[in-house]
Amino acid sequence: MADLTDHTQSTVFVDELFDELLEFPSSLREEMLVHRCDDPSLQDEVRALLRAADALPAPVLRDDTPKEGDRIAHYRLEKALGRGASGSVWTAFDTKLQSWTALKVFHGSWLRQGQTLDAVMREARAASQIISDHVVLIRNVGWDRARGWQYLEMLLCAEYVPNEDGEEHLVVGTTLHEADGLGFRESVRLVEEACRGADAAHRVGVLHRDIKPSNILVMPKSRRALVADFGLSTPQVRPSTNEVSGTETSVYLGEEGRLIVGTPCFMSPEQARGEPVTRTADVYSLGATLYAKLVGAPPYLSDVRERPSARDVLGWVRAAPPKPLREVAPEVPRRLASIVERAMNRDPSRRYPSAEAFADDLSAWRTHHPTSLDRRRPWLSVSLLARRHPAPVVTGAILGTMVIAAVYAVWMLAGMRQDLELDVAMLEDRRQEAEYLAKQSEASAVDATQRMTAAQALAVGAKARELAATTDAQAAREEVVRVLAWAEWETERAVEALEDARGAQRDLEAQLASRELSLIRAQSDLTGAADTSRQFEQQLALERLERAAAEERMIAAQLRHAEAEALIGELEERLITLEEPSTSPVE
Amino acid sequence: MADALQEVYDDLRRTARRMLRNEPYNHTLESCELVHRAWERLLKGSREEEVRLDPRGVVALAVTHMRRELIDHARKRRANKRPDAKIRVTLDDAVYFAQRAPDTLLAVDTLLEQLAEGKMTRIRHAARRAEVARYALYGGLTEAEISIMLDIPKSTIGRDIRFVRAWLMTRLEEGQGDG
Repeated sequence: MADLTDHTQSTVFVDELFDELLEFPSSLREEMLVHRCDDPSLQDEVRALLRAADALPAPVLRDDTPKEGDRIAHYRLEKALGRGASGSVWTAFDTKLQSWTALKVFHGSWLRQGQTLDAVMREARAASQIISDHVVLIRNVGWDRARGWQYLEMLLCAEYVPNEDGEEHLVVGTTLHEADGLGFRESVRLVEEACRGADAAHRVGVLHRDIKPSNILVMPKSRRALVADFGLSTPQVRPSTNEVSGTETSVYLGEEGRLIVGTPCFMSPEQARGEPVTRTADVYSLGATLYAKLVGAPPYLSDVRERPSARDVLGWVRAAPPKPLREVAPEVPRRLASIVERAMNRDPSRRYPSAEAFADDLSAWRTHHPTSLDRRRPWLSVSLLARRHPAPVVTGAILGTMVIAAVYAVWMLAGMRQDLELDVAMLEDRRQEAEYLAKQSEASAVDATQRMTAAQALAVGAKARELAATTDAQAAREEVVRVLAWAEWETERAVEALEDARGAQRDLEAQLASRELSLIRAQSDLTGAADTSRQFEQQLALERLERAAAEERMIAAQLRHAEAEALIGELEERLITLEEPSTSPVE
Repeated sequence: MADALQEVYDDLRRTARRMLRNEPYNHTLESCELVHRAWERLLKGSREEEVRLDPRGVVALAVTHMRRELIDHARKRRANKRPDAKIRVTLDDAVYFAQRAPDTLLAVDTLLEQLAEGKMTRIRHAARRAEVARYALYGGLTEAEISIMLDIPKSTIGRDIRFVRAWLMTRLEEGQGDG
């Protein structure tokens, strides 16, 4: 009896086994097949069926690419935001909710097999577990039966921004890759937010594996950073065999040159070797992203003239670290550079253990707190504290410390000198930053002038068109208004940069003042400290000189800014004159 | 009564149109002609059957007639070539087969009949899978529609179609190997 039951239970049917095995990746099927039945002829039959199923083109997938206006399920595609190896991303209109959303449509050629579809589903499910303000969240996944497209609905990274007339316009965010001239502080803030997003993903066990500036989106108004494309590029990048996954990676990178240089530069050495990766690989990529924003070029590509192949870059990543940050960009503050270096350490165990730890250090640097790398420099902590709270109480406290230091005479002085050296290094960081900001504002002022000229040219063109036809003039006017809005936005940014620079300047002045005070006290109280005082004085003189230089640059930038503003005024007047004749005939 | 019959007629025509939609040029079968002939057979033949007017039963009957028309058509056009296994077995385009690869359609039909007879002892749900495949092939019905017709979950229909496609593929290849 028992025998009979066993027999019926172990009866294996070809169709049922086929159904079951098709749910698994092809690499696992053979092993499972042998495990599930021991009849060789039955095995052969199932094998033939599986082979046939793989050879048959999947009925639901199309190789063509979607176009503007195409309908997918209940969405209507509006505008392509970008195209990648796996698919294209669109702004889309949800006809059910009557609202805007973002849709990623996968290429049929990329999703060839049923198991890859399953993989996307699995990854989408994992990614939808992430809870974070700094991640582009997955809302829905599905496929359009009629068109045969697989899609993924994501949070649309867009915000309503008022234009000149006060009307709210939906503006889609740009990638960090596209954002230029951010300044160190802004770059650090954006990457810090991306770290928070990545950390939220790590907490639910999702690795990104492809963090790079073009996968980080920046909101147009709130300037929030969001990590996009979670786990979606992974199914093919993930090393599935023991071999070095060089070929897989290049397949994934596709034929487009931009992608080829894009990704390997931001890859950790272990990922480039095809070894299993942990969250510290994402930490490396985040570090590489910040490196790229500080230097202006991705790691390994700072001094390369021609675009190297992905294979070459992969080779470099495997072989050696990129050039030290401060060697490529000496203007980057030293403490910031050492934070990036720790994130990009070639030894995963010596990197920040989590994206959160990296974010915390970036945040500390940004807000003048001691970072985890500064912990063994107590004087620096005190001076950072003074920078955060420049109120007289704190300054008094520091002066008090100086008096006590005077009582403790020479050995104490020696230690103090060391600390002061560190402090001077800190001041230098600040000075470099102020200089950089001044340069930035100068650049944006030049940029604004250029845009102004372009707008003027447009205005002249509009004038000509207006003479030709009044209806055309209306369109021309709108165009000029748009360009003007741009120019003004640019100018605003220039003003912001100037404000920043001014703030830095004020900080420097306060520092100098307090330093002078302490110097006077030290001189009167301590004749033995003459040497040190002289050093102080020298340092001060140097700093003053540098400050004067920075100020000069500031004035130049301000002049340019004023010029730009004058131009805007002029242009606006022209616009008004342009509007007057154009509006009356239209009405 | 007349209204009910008109409804059935429309149903049939819609099904036929769906079948022919993918073939805009070089018609030798006009959709209306096909429907008329199928309808004639329906009326002349089993009047009692369709008078019961169970929509599912009528659609099933219509699909049976469609199949007969298409097989007849394929026989007339038969080129006496070996069935071509390289043609995608799509199971939703019998009209295409009937015109472009009549021998493949006849071979597929024979194979489906064998499957339906349940002689394949190693295939557990052979009869059901063959029926599902026939609705897809001759009726041009979607998975959702077949799911309603047979009262079987949609996912099962999808698996059935996937299996039958692969199975037909291996059988057609075998036939080629023999020749």
